[in-house]
Amino acid sequence: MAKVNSREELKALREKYRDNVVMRLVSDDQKTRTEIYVAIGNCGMESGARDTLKAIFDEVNAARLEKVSVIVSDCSKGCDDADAPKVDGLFLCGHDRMVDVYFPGEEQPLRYKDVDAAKAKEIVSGIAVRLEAAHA
Amino acid sequence: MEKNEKALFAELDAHIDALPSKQGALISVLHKAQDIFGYLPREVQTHVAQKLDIPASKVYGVLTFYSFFTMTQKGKNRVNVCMGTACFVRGADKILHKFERDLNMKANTTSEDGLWSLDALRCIGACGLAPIITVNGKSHGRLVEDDVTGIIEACLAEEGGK
Amino acid sequence: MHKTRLQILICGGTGCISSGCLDVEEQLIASLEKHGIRDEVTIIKAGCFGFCEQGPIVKVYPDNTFYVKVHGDDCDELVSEHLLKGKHVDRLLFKSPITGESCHHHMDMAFYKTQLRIALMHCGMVDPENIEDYIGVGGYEALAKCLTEYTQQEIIDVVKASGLRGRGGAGFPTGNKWQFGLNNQNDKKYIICNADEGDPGAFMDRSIMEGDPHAVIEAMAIAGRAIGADEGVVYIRAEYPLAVNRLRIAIAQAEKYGMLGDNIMNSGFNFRVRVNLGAGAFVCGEETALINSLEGKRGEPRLRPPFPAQKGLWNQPTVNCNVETYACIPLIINRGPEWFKQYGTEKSPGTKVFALAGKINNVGLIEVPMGTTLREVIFEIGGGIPKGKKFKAIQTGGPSGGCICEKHLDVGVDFDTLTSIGSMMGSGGMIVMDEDDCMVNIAKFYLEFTVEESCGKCTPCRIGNTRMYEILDRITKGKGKPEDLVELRELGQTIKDASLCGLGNTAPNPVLSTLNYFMDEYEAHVLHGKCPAGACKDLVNFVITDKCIACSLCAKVCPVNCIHPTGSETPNGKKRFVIDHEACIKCGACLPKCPPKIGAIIKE
Repeated sequence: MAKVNSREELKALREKYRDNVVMRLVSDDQKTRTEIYVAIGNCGMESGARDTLKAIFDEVNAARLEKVSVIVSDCSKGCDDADAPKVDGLFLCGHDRMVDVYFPGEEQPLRYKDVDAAKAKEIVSGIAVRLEAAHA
Repeated sequence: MEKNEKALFAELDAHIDALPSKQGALISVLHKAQDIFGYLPREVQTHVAQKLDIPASKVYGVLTFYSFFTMTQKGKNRVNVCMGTACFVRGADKILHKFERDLNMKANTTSEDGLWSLDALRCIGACGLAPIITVNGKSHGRLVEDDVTGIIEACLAEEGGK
Repeated sequence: MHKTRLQILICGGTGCISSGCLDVEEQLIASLEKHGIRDEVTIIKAGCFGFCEQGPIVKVYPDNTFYVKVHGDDCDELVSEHLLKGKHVDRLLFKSPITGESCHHHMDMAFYKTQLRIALMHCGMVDPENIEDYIGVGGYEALAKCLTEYTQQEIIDVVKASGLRGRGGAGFPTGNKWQFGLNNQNDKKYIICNADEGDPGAFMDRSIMEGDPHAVIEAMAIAGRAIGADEGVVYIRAEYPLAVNRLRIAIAQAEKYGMLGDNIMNSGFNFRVRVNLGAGAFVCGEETALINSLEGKRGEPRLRPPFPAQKGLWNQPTVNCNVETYACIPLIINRGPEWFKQYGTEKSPGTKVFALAGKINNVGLIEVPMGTTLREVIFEIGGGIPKGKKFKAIQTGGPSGGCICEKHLDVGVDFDTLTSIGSMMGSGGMIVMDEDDCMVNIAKFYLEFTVEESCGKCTPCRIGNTRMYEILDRITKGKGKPEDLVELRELGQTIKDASLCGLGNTAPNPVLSTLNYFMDEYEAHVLHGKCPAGACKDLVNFVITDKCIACSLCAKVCPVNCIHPTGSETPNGKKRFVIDHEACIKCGACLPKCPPKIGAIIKE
């Protein structure tokens, strides 16, 4: 590491190292962030929701959406069908790889089902557009 | 002092010789000396005085001023009972007395067989775990008197196992 | 952007290390590897989160889950359930003592809700051993600003305008102190950071150095720039090995990045910082004693004037502030004095860190705006007194402070209000006492400390405090006389007036304040030979009543074999046990052994 020789160089370093800490900075301010919940729980482990998670996370990262957090949730978070038949305590709601998106200040999420890599890309770019619009 | 005394003095000398300046270095040299010897007996004090070119009385005066320095060798098992205020109001004095009774010794002394040192310490700053003690560097928090016997036995068992 | 999907912060402060956080780190890594997701998680050992009572603490980002009392064998469940499947491990969440509900987010907890972190802003948030984290949150920007935008006087003007007062004791305005340092022209000047946190029960400075060492280093460099010093020394307790180590790492990193050293950021400004270990002397918290100690001498205070800003270390102009004061500086520079002044009270702006300990449910490190009432601190943030006991007093300011009783609980805490009710801010230790604590005994505890720590230089402190201690000792042993109470007051006032340094000036405070607010307890000892709290051994007797069923449990634990079956007969014809008061050492070991439903042993 060469020495920092000016305020500008320090600023460049700060931009670079912001990546280390941005998750902590944003998470402590839950009111202004957008949250993407990927439901995994017990069923999701079998149905490929881990791939969904990876796809979503990679898309958010690639788009550098700082104020968007990707969070794993228990499947009950995404399950809107409480009357679905249960086997061994697991819901059999018939849906897998569910993704909920909460925009700041909104109580109701946007819900997506059976999210694959292509759909993940679509969802994240949708979020990006909407956040951009809100910002402007 | 042990047979490799010479090597210990050499280590101390090397440290002193490497100092950029001897001015004001006494306390840091005493820290180093206590690191090396474990305590600061008379021989070490006079040696330091000679090396730093100051009167031995000054060395003695400084080291007795600070509670961190000790002129007696510590026991094999070192029990430090925190007597900070937070520990005190949560019963640290009872823990200390229990150790005194069980080990049959007074606080801030070393037992004659050299097995134990029992010291009352100023705050170690782990007030969330009050009352807290450290035994050979390991801390035991939220103690009650009944824990003391077990802690002593564990030390002795380890001793026997060696 | 994010290197990993998850970040896990483990509290790596001294408190949590004592409760086993290193094992948590080890087991967590093992478990992540076992489940094949090691690469999805960054583990950071951060500084103190403050909630020491509940340690070790583990925080999971980005979902912001706050786990308490996590142990090594909890890690596997945490990984397999929470990190993989998104199911919170409910048993490791903090439960509200009032509603019993689980709190996921730390801001849902009463302990954190009303806190405001300025000095502790990055403590428990950044990795203290990694300068990149500090730079990432804007670190060293304040130094850059001072080097490029501000003149020396302008830096001092900002600090003055913020109204920042020294957090180490009496609350002297920091900006004015720096001004004296600048005004005293000299080629060589020094900056000192007083990290000799000697108050038993105070650990805020240690936590700042363990959790955010770069903030202190950056502020020292700013102070150096402001007054024209090129050398800084941190005088730190040798009893804080973790803080010493983190500080040394931070200094080395700052040098490597050019934040310390020659020609910092090409500005022509040179500044170096070194660490100097103290050796255990409370009086070295006094700045002139500290300076003597830095020079390798006995830590005895010097006469003032000349003040350190005129003739300090090696007789050169020296500015000395404490750790918490420095920790506020970078934010004041970055966000401006007005931002700082919006918090706190008019004469004491900003926040103050307190170490809350003693008989309180939520022991820990807290930061609140100045002016917050003691009642809020104790009963909201602190969660009240354990075991349903009654609050008796809160002691602030360590051995220099006083005890504050119930009637002053609604006073908003700042430098001036605490002094006006006979205590002081000191470094910010707060020890809560309940009905079982004897205030005479507490006063004696503090005096014993002062007697041991008095440097012996001046007579009122050396001898006066010893005499006071002897009187208190006599009173707690039931041998006090009514005139002792008058003498304590007179002696105390004389010591305050006639001592040279802050230690002597404040040493009688614990006695004088308890005399003021708890005279009834002193009188009970002196006039009636009773200790109402039952804490003074010599005034207490353990007695076995007729409820005794002769089970002998008490006799078995008695260390001096003074409990014998020589009493009256139980209905079953067994002899009840009796305590031989001549032989009894009043250790109280028998008391908890008597089964609660019998309750035959009482303390009189």
